[in-house]
Amino acid sequence: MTSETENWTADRVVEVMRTLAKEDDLPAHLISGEITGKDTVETLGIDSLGGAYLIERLEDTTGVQMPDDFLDLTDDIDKIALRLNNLIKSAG
Amino acid sequence: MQIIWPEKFGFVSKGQPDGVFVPSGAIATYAQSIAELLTAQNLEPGDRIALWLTDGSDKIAAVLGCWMAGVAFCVLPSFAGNTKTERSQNRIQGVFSVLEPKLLLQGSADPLSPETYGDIPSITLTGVPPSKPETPDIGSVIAARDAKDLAFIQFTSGSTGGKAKGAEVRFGQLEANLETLAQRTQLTGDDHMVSWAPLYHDMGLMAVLLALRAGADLTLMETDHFVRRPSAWLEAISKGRGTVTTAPPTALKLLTRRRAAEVDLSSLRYAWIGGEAVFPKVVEGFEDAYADAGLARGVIQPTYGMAETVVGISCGEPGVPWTTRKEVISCGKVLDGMEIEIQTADDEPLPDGTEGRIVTRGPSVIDGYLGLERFEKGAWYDTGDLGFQEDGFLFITGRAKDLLKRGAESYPATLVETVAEAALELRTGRVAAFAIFRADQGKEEIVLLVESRAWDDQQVRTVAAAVLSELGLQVDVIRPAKGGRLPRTSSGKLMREMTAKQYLEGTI
Repeated sequence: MTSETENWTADRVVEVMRTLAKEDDLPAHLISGEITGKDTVETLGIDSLGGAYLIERLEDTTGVQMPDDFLDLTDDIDKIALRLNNLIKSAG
Repeated sequence: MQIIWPEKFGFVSKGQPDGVFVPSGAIATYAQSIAELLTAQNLEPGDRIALWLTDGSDKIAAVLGCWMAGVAFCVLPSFAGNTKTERSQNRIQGVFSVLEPKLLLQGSADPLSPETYGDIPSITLTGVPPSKPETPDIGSVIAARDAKDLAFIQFTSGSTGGKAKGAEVRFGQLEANLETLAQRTQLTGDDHMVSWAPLYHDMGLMAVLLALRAGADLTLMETDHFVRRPSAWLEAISKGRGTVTTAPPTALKLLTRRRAAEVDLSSLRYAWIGGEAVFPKVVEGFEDAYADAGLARGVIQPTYGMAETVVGISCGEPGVPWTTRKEVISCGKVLDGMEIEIQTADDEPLPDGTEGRIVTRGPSVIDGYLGLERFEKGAWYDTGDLGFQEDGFLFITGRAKDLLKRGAESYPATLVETVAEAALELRTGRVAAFAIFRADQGKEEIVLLVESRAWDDQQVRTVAAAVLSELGLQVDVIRPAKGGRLPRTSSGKLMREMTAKQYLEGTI
């Protein structure tokens, strides 16, 4: 397991979102606006298509295949980070 | 419309990811039982039935059952299931008030809430009944329907910006469009259609009807299954040796980024790509990504059409790769029987290569919207899109109508503005919503500019969350207008086109 796959925090998930926003796949306001672990995907204004881009990038970064129901638009970022860590642990 | 039964239908869903296969005879028996059910309700010819179904066999049998019983159907748009706010409730009530359905047919899974359909009688379908020894002859009953009979109502993108617009599609118009599309794409009973596009969308419904008319095998995937797992679409093509399919360019973009592993697309010979603006970067990216999976050039075919022409206006020839002019992708040549002209704002025809308003006419153009204006027979229909023609090929460059598109779903600009204004407690006319064709990004960029002097992150988030929650739309850019003012006419009307132009120039 590489360091890329370890210790996912809300901040790391936010960084991925900011990168996708810079690449025009997620809303531009996510590039620099304040985002906390309690923010949900929905309140950030990300739709299911944006969510698919997020999953793709998380899979690419972690090397771990996400299950179909990995992301729910009502999930907050803390929950996404926790799920990522659990997934990586079980895949490891 | 003629029906040629394939041997079996395939249905793919989250619960049945490998697909469940239902013999045609069982679907025919099911359709007949639905027709009998409808006939017992004392319905009159031309009455309209609302459909809210998720199961694939329910959908096919209900469509055919309605036609067999002499009534028209309307597959309810997806927003019928979203009743989070009063405005959401009003949207579906607007559809029901125009449609005036005599009955609502629902599946047992995910039914509408009773508050949504009120006093409209509702029947829940119970699934495929036991087969009978003899397959009912549904085909000849449907083929006998008169060309002037109403086949279905398709609520268009304008359905939420004022009075709901339900395109009235009659059997004559339907047959004309199916025939010319089948001819152009050389669709036969040897084909196998794989589709996940929803049936409330013209592309999704026509994928099913084209297959039924040609006797092609049909694999119908639940749209939600595709949304959760996009690679399932290509896996279904690979496994079932699919030959024809349809999708919006968003799906291609997504699957280029999130490449489906170990798929064989060598069986695919024609893919209608449309429902939103198509950009060369997106199509080329997909073709490159799946070249080693056997995807040949000339399979991916950008197309053009709309519910007001049943679905198709132009598309390419099978096996002939798309071209570009002025960095715009071709949407093929106009379909046989249909005509296109590029006109000025004053209805004057423009020469080849000159951009203008796209107008069309032909046997597939509908008579009008249910309960609203009628189109003048034989007259040019203004599509609301902009483009040019060159050497017979059509190129789409923009949109004159106030409509935003994302993932083949359409959103009236006025509705998006209303939601944003309500979220910020602004007066009407203080928000401008528009879309910019971004070839470099391979998508339409959706922009909201707000007239506001006090602006902070929280306001952006409030608007983004409200638009997503109410409409399911992700907005790319939300910011205040520079100078705090949006351009208006002398009478105070918002000038969206001017706003978009100034946004592109960086002056607003």
